[in-house]
Amino acid sequence: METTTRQDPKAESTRPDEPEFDLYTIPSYSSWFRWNDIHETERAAMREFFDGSSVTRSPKIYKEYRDFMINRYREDPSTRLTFTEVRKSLVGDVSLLNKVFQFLNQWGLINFGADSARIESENEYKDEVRVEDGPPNGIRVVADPNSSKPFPASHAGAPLGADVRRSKLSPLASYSDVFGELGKRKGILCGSCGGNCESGRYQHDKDSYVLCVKCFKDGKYGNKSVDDFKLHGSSVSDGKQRDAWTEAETLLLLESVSRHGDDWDIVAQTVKSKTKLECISKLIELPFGEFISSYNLGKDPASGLSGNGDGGKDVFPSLPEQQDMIKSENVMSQQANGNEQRGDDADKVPPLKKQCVSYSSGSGISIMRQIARISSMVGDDITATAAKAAFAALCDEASCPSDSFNNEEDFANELWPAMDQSVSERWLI
Amino acid sequence: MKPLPSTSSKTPVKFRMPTSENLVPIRLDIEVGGQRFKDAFTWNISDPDSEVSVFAKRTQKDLKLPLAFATQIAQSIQTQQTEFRSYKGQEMLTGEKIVPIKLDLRVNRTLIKDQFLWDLNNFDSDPEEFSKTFCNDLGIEDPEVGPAVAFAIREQLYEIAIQSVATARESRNAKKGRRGEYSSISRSTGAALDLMKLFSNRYSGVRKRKEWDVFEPMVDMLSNEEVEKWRDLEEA
Repeated sequence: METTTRQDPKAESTRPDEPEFDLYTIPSYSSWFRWNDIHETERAAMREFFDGSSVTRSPKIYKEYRDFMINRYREDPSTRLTFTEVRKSLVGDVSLLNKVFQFLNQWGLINFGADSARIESENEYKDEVRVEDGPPNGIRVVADPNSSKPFPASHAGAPLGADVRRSKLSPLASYSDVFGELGKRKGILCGSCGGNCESGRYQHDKDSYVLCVKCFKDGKYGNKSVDDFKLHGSSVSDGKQRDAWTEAETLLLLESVSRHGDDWDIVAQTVKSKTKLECISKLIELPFGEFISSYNLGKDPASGLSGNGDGGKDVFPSLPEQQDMIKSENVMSQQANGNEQRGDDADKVPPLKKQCVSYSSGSGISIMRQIARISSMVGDDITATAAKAAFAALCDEASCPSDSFNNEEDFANELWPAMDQSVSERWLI
Repeated sequence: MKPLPSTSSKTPVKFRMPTSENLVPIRLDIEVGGQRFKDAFTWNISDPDSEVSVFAKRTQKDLKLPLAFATQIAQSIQTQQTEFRSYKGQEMLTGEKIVPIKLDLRVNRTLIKDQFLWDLNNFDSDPEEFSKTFCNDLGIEDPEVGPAVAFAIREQLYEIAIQSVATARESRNAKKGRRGEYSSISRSTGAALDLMKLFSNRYSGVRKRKEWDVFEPMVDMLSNEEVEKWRDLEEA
């Protein structure tokens, strides 16, 4: 963007480096600006001042607003002038003042050289995902002071009055606030070598001193007696599982979310080893996680889709939803198109085709979303086999055209085999 | 951009919120059993009525309130909606009305006091945008402050709009000449400033310096104890 350097218009000289003149930079597209005049651009942008519609808006008043704002900015060109700073000094409707302010801002007549770092940091802040526990602080449910009934103290979820305050994350909780504890619970550290006691630890009976297996064997008891130490079972379950999500946990999470929707207390109970917040965050991270929970909200209660058990045959009631059934058939048949190599795994796939499932929204949903819904409805083993069958079909499809053209049967196998494994893994997780 | 239609004090306008979006301020203050639920938000009056019960149910469920709250919440919203709609079709005499809006509210730890002018004739005005600018400029981080400020503005605008309906009715019934209309405006709607007095500084758009801090926003952060004190005061 070109810039022109405007001199303080009080001086007429054109030599910019003479120290008596103040130099202010404005963009070249604003070179129409004149102190002693109102340009057509301004008249067009702010007609309210120029159409005589109100005695509170006149060209004179506009010029006053404009000049005041620009001069105010130029008192300190490196600092960004905010609207709130100027509006206290100007008489008039704040929305109108803001309009003038934004006009000058956009044309670079103010804030052109100013510090824009704050804007960037504001934008970054918006991108952080904040997971909040419970309703915002502004909504409060308190005991009615006039009522004689005792207030139930164990009211899960509702924020209480001054006395009972659950430890909630503030709305400004950052990533480290939410997940910092994960790091702390990394595992029990040995008192002697400071390492992680993963494969087992020896706990002192009378205090909290802990030794890892290795140190115990090495005889590093410190000043404690060997008899006081008791072996605590393998803590493989303690250390690592708290950090990463295993497949089992993820599947539990998906099942329980599809069953309970966004009742995170129950979900967290089902996935025993993760807290509510971890469950929510994990679900968001999953590629179709949001669809699962939103789908659950729209589920027809009559359909009673609680079956995550085997086979999936008994689970789906027949509901007359013609469009959706056709759509689901199309989806499935695309996947299993022209497939001679199905094998007995894919025998589980046809039952889905036969059943009608009611979808809460119309037939305009994308295939990905539908697949996500289908996979959330059935058991994980079915999803896996469906994925495998789909890939077998795709390999087959890819091979057909190339077969007919080049008669090279190995072409497809070269292309797809590497993908097969990794992508079907992604379907599972 | 369309120029605003020329207005004069005689032209009445159909009742509506003088903002670009027809959002109505709704307050809830419901007591059931031993629990009291307070909330304040804006509602889009053009939303279908079925949305009210959906919202009420959702709120009750999210906050894990007893079931009785859902019906009460829905009722309260509907009552306020009906009240708003009862003004529909009536005329409000806006005329030249630039009114002072005052902010005096506490949102969690943030205490806000402010004063500024609002043009009731400006149907493009947007309290939410004003409040967004307000929070950005003052570096307010609590995300609940913005909506609360917008709500406070809307509430006052609503009040003034209702008053101006009453005024319009009065002046129609008065059957006086033009002079009569003027006098009833300035008498019953004390909120409207005399326009000439508005530009008291030699009819300049720039305010006298000594008045600057009256119109400057004041934002305070409270400590925990102070928050508790305020809460007790408000609930008494």
